[in-house]
Amino acid sequence: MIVSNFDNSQVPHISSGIDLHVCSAWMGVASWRWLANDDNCGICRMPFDGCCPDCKMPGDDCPLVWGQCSHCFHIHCIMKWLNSQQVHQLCPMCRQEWKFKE
Amino acid sequence: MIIMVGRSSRQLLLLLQTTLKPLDDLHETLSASEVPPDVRQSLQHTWHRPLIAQAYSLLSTFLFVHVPSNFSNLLLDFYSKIFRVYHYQSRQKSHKHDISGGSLDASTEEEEDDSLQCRGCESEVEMCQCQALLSTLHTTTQHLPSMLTAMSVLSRKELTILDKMTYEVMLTVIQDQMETYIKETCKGNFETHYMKPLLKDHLKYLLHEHYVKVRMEQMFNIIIEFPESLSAIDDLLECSKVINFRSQLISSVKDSFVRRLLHPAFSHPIGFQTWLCGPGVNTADILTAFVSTIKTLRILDPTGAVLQQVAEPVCHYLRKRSNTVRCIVASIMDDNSTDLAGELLKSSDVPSGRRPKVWQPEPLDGELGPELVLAYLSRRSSCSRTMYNGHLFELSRADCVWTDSTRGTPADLMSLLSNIYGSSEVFVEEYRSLLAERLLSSMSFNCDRERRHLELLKLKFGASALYVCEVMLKDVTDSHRISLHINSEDLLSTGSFSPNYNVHAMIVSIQFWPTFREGKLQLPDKLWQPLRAFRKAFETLKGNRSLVWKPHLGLVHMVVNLQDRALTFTVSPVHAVLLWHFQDKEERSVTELGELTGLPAGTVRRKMAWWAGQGVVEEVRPDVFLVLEERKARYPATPAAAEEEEEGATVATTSSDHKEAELQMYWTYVVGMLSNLDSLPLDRIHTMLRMFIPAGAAGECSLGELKHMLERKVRAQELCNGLCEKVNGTIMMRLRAAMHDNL
Repeated sequence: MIVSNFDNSQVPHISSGIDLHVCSAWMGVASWRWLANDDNCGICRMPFDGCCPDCKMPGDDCPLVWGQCSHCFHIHCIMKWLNSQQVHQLCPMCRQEWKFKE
Repeated sequence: MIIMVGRSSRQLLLLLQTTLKPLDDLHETLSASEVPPDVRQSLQHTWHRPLIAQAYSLLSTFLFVHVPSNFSNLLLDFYSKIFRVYHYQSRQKSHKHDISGGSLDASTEEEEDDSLQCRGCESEVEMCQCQALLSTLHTTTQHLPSMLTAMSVLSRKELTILDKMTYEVMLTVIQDQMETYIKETCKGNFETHYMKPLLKDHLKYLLHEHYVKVRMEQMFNIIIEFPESLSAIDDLLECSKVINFRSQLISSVKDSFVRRLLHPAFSHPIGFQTWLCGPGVNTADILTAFVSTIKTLRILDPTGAVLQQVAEPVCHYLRKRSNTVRCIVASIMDDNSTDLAGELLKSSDVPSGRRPKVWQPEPLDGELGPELVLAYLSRRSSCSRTMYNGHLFELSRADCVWTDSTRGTPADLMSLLSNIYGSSEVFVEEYRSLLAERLLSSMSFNCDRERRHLELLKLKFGASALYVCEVMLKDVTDSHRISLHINSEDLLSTGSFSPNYNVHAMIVSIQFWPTFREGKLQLPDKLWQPLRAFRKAFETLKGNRSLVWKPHLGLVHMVVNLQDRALTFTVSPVHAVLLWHFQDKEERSVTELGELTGLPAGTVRRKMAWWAGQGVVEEVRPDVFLVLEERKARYPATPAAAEEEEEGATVATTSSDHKEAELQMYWTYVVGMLSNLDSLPLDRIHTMLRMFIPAGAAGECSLGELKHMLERKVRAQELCNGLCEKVNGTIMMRLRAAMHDNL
């Protein structure tokens, strides 16, 4: 014997099966990663998803840059490298002239 | 004693007379006949002892039974008598000293006294019992503490009764005595001070001593009941001004700790599982007791020397328990246990009274880097306790907090606890993993409290050690911003499909979080779509960055609409997905669900059992579940009960997992060694490992740990432990032949 004082009109009547609402939110977990063709920076050897040795915060604070040769580095790393070059500014990986990818 | 009895009530007299009859007889014969003094003396010696023993046993008997109404009178009598004797004797002595420089002995003095009565005991000089009475007093007072203890064991009430009684009686006696003394000596003399010599410290001292003795035996309970036992501690503190009971305190606390808390549960060498759940007392309980001890002793002994002595075995023991750090960190982060969290907050502003006044830093072996000096200097100028704490912690690396007793500064609680491990790394690592677990299991984007904790911990451990945690918290706030942005822009609707719910993501920087628990979960396409849309939105927002979803982690808020009820749940995605599949089919088997979700059957069964417990589904046949459209009687009517899911599994891997992973790294080295050198004894392997793997690269691997790991490998049949070829008692390790061939 069930004495139900539940008002059926409050709930939409479903003829068959369960009706499932993900009501307020799906709280998922995800990790972000750079869409780069390598895992580690060729200069500092730190993972791209981390940050360069001079930085504390990964991601926006320590972004990556791509050269026209398709190699990419932490922006701080390649800037340091380019500043240390006297004559030609070359990609440290392929020795082609370094040009930032537009 | 006899005189005292003679003046007591009839009942007691009767009692005493029966027991002391032989003594009475002896007494009478002594007084009646003419006995030479030397015989009398020897006789007195022989009956003194039984008399005292009798008195003691009698006293304790009638204390244990009922306290008669005239007991206080009796006591009063006893004490006043004794006091008079004591007083008289001491006066006599000083008198003698004044007259003849102490050359005359007592008997000649007594003979010279012209009155026939001894002024001490008011009996005839011939049978003066002053000596007897005095020695009785001494024995009684000597036995008093043991009596008190015995009684306190029986009932505490009686102890207080006795305390009250003796206290009152003593007060009266002392008052009377003082009155007569003052009357006698101060009559008409106004030219000298009398107040100072009137104060007799002796009784006071005795009282304190006995009180301390009793309390020392109860020290453990005083500590355990710490905040309630404050009055007892205050009393002890008062006593400490009179007598020094430091060594008693140390031994009492130490002994009771070893006996009652620190069971030798770790006799067997290291094993991962037994580390975690060793027998004996709960680590959390030990910690609580330890915290109380620290608090108690900080009051009793502000110099911290006692604490240092007591804490040593406890720390040593806690160091052996693997979950100690976890317990400490958990209680720091837990709001409910205000003990440590409060202490953490408190230590940043300790009242100036507690602050050690003089702190002389000695240059320690090279550990005193410029930043430490800076910290010290800034402490001196601003007197900031936290900097000092940070300093103290740094010094502990040079192992000087425990070894250097001369400094004797009371370290604050947090430093003490974190010093258990001697280094901050373990502590920080455990904090990180607990923090990750907390953030991911609550999935709340509000981390103000965590941030506050982190700031406090940073003051202790230094910002550099904890910056990883800072990245984690920044991830949380960033995720919140991004999620809000994506949901508000309605970026989740893709073409025809638009979900009726929001997607929030905890977007983590994977390098900075502890390794996540692995798990695979296949989402139905309908559930994937919003997640994909979220990823796309993120990609457009961030450019060149993408998301990797971990579908098995997180939380789902959902409403389950059934025919007669609607239920609200907050569950893990795994639960949500499993129930999702019941939408198009009412009845599903475990195998079916396993195929749909990609989960092992055991997991599916466990999760479905949870749903069954919530009254949503029912196991109609073994391994087949059916949706319960209509509520059954045995489930309570919970139309909108928001149930939090209890899940034992942790989100992040724990430090023991890390340790295992580390040991796995050693294993590759071991395999390399053994395939080259065929077989090696254990300690040789250990030495070689230490040679190959630079210290600090991946933590130290103790001989015990290595042995344990290799034993497991033997059990897993990857290694053969050449017991038959035991050479000189060393066990030779050798790779199994099959494996050897594979290499």
